Amino acid sequence: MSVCRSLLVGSRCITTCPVRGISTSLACYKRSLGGSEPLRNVRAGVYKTTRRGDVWITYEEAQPPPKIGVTKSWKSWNSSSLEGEGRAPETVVDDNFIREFMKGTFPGVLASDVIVKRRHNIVLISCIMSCVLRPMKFYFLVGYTEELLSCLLKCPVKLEIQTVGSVYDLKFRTI
Amino acid sequence: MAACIGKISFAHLSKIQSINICNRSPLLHCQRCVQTAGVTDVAQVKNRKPIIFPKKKKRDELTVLKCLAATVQRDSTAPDYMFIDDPHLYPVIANEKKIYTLAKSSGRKAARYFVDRLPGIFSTNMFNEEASVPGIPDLMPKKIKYEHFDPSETALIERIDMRNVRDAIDMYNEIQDQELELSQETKISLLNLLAYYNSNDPPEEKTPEDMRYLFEKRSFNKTWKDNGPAVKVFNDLNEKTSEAYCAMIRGMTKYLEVEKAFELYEEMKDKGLQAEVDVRTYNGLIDVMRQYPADQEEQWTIIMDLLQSMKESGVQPNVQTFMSVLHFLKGVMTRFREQKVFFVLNEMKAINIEPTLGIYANLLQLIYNDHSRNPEHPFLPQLMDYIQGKDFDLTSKDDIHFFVAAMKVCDLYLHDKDLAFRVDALLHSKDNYKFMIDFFAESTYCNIFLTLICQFEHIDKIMEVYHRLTPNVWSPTFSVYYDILGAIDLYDAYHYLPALWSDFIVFRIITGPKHAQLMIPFFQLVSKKKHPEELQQKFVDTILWVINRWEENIQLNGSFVLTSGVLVGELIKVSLNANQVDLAWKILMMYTKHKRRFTEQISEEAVTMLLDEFIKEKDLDKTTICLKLMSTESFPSLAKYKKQLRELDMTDLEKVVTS
Repeated sequence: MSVCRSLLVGSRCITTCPVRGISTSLACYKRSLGGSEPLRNVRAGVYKTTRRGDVWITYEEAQPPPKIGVTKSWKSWNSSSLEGEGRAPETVVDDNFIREFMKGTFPGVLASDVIVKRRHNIVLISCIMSCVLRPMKFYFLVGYTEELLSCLLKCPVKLEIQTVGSVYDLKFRTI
Repeated sequence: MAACIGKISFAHLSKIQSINICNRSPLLHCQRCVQTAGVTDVAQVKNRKPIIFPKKKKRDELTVLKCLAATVQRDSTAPDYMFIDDPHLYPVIANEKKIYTLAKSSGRKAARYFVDRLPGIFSTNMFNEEASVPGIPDLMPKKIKYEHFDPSETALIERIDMRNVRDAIDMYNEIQDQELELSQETKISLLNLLAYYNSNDPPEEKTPEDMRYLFEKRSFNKTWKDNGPAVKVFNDLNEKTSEAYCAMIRGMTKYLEVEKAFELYEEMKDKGLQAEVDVRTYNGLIDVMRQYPADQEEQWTIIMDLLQSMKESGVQPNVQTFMSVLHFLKGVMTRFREQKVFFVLNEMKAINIEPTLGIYANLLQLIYNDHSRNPEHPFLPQLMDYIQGKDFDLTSKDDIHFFVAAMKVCDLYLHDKDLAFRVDALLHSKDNYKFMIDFFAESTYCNIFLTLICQFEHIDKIMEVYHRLTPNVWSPTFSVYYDILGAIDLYDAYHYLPALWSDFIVFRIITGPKHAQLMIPFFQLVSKKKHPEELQQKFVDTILWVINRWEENIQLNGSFVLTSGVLVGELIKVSLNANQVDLAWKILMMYTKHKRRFTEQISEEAVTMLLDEFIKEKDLDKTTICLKLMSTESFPSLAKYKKQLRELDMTDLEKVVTS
């Protein structure tokens, strides 16, 4: 009975879920057993509340996974998952490498996750950084990263960075 | 109305009959239709010109991109593409722009160093796949991988093709040691390479960022290697052909070995190889004529001889030839070059060579430099009529000086603001802005432009141009701000002053040690009269800003410490104009407290204004302090005040006054 109820609750959730866009009729609600997973107890990718409630998270961290594409966007933008496109695994490894490289090149500076976009033959890397370095050093590292990654990925690479005064400027809410 | 249904069959004829197709395009008429049409229709058809379809244009793969690029312009409200568009990271002052640009460039070079050092990692992509298809050579490590190592002619040719000068010289020496045969062609191409690079490896390629700041200047020192590898290869030649001679002369003239170059030229003449000298060699010889040891008359005769021999051997001169002649004329006395400048221009016209902007730049400098004779020569206005709306190619280093030279002429000699705006319009039309590669040329241009229009233009127009250029295109200098303040004074446009003050802070002009230079004229202008309340409040805010920074810097021993009494006087006057007596008093107290630091005396007018205020309020203490200050500074108006105070019968003051 409890399973049934959770399924029912789950299907009610589906009616309101803006991502899936599925509407379920009342008849269906009463009778059928939905095959989709129950959404009530989904915990993956959602931050737990702490006892004191004093840990802060950014806007992006505050959005649960179902909100991807609704209130927050993806961290990798490419077309490798479309039909007929190749290099899906390579793209993933490349993106991961770029993220590690950025972490190593700008130690203690990155304030957000690195977003990698592929547009035509260009790789655009964007992220938010805290301005702990002098601007001159930023320019040096940007030139260095662009040139080295271009030579490694064999395509033009561009960095689009924005700075914030401190990491705490990105605070969205506490949990 | 007749509808043409000639060869076309329509499904619904009845509907179409009401539409007159013929009326719209005469080409759609069939013969029958024309015959059956009314008389007026025929007349109309005959009167109309037939449509001529344009021929198909040949387009290359970049045409669409070029077309799209022509639709956009430089957005002066955003920082240059070179910089990161972020408030913390984009530069405002000129020095910052230079440092950031070169920092980015050196970052690129550091990456290039690793790429070239580790060709194993960077020659493929991350998955050991072959490089991108089609490959981009610029993204590959520069690895020197020869196929031939034994001394032979093919190995030498390989090194010459790769332009590795040092390796080519080593290979040549090895071949000579083993006494192997070399063909004449290979020797000549080796000689060409050595002479062109002066037996050094080719210089490193510059990044686009370097081009902005490290623009090469013309050197006047001899750098040619006497008895270097190039001379050795030349002497080793069995048969010295005209090609070999030309290569040597070109190399020698490029690196300013003038006398030997002319010796070789004479040698060629003696051998009867005169007819085979090419135009680049002639250009080189004319170009170094200024370094040739002879007097000007003789040098000019040699140039004329060279041009004559070009004509005899049927060598067509090019733009560079005339540029070299003009370069020569720039170095000679004004009396000597009078008519020769126009001779060069006429000669170019005679052989149908379109001058480049570099030629025009040199002409402008030559014609107007002698300004005592022709200060208002009509050359530039006529030139602007001729080249208006045209676009030019960037062909030589001199091209980038045209706009600066033209603006200089507008400012110094012609004093013509309309012409200056026309020059500016030419710079911004088409893609002519590419001539502003050099950062210093760009800032000089803007400086001269603003200085000129500050003299002749209305203040609104000046500020419009000023806001268009700052801060992204240009960072203004002290002198331009003096001119702008002068123009504001002339037109009583005090409402621009608060914006100008915030620019002083942004450009860090008044936070440096020379802050007083600009603050004195600024506050002198402000203190001239009483302003409307809103504006006056803004000026009070600026004074509060100054005072706060002054206090901070005195505590921290910083650089922003006022040392000019005149400036303090102006600050007091402005605060009194805004009825801020307390603020004025505070400033005076700070002056008396730190009096030792000041290099100049406080102005008398400011103190007397303050004193008047206190007498009006009958504030005894403050009046006393003011009078004491006046007596220590020994102001002449003290006597007048003594008299006035006696009349006012402020008895307690008697002691002070009489002392």
